[in-house]
Amino acid sequence: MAVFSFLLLSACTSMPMQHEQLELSDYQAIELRDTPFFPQDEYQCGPAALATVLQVSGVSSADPDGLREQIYIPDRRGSLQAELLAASRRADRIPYVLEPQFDALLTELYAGNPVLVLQNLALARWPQWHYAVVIGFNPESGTVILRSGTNEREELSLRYFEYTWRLSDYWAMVVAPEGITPATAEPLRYFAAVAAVEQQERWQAAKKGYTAAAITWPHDATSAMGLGNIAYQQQQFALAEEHYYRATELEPEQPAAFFNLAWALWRQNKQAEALLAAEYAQGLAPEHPLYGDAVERLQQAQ
Amino acid sequence: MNKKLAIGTSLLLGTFVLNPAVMPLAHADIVSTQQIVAEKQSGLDRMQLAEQLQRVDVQEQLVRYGVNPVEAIARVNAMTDAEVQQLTAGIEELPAGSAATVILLVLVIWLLLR
Repeated sequence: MAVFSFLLLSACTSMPMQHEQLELSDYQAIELRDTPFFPQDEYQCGPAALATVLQVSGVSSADPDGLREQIYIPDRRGSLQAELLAASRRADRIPYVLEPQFDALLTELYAGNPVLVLQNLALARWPQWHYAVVIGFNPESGTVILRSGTNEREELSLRYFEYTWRLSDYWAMVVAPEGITPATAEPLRYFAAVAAVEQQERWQAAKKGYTAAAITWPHDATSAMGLGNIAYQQQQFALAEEHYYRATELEPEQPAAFFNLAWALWRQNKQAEALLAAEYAQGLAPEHPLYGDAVERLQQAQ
Repeated sequence: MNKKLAIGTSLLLGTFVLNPAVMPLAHADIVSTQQIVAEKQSGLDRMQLAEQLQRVDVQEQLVRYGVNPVEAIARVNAMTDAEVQQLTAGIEELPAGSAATVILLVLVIWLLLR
């Protein structure tokens, strides 16, 4: 995606500025004054900006020196976006990349989440990439306030800020505190973000992520599937069964729920019930490469 | 997916198979949450073998750019498949945020934009 945005940089010059579409009178001034500040050393804006948002999300041990080891690339004298996301996971948090929209940034800000942004402080063809953290917005003066570089309180005009931010294709991320979904989180994207943490076997962080999602989207079965899968991978098959069962109640059309339920039952030696669930999964998606032969797969397992 | 090929590659990759992000699920029987989300998103099946090779490639790139090898493994492990894929395009091609102070340039651009 970053590569595409790179190619598109010159194309977006003619696009209208997003901040011009904002109804400024709808907004009140906000500044997250308690946001910590880590004045960056040379080339260390990535570690400094990430430490700032991680601290706010409750990772009290986050500091630029420790993060430098995790995200700084010596020969590029900088940090890549993917590395900021990866390091957030290593801190047991769930990083979320925002929609490339000015109002998404503002919504997060009003929810109390400082927003880490990627700016290009120079020109599209001669980039000077820089990470900073947006902590405030003043509709009256038409400015945003950032923790940036060595500047504890940088106030930029909306126009200048958007010019620099647009060159990164409006790249922005938030790290919400544990147990809370970001204010602009969209279910599938958020579940993908938690599933990445689950895949890395960061069980506690993933559990908290799915639990938070279950509160935000109580009718979506994906949280129950995630919690079930975590339990299953930890060999807690009875608990997994409970979660999968709940998933089948929430989304009775979802073959994955019945498929995994079948396995959780099978692992508890409840063969008859397991086969029933597998048959059901199969019935819901007879052509599917996995669910389509659920019963056979189960019978072949030992 | 060709299972034998995947297993063969895993063995070739040596220590790399021990990394949780690369290792196939301990319980390959259930369908993973990632798969569920991916299916909901696009219905695309993912090519795990290709991803394993990409991870090694990105890890090597990081080392070439001065990251210590052990740390490079940890970094790649904490990335998603999509992020790894991004990085295979080449670390040189991607924006690396770093600028400390670019006062002069900022001034020039600010003047231009006013």
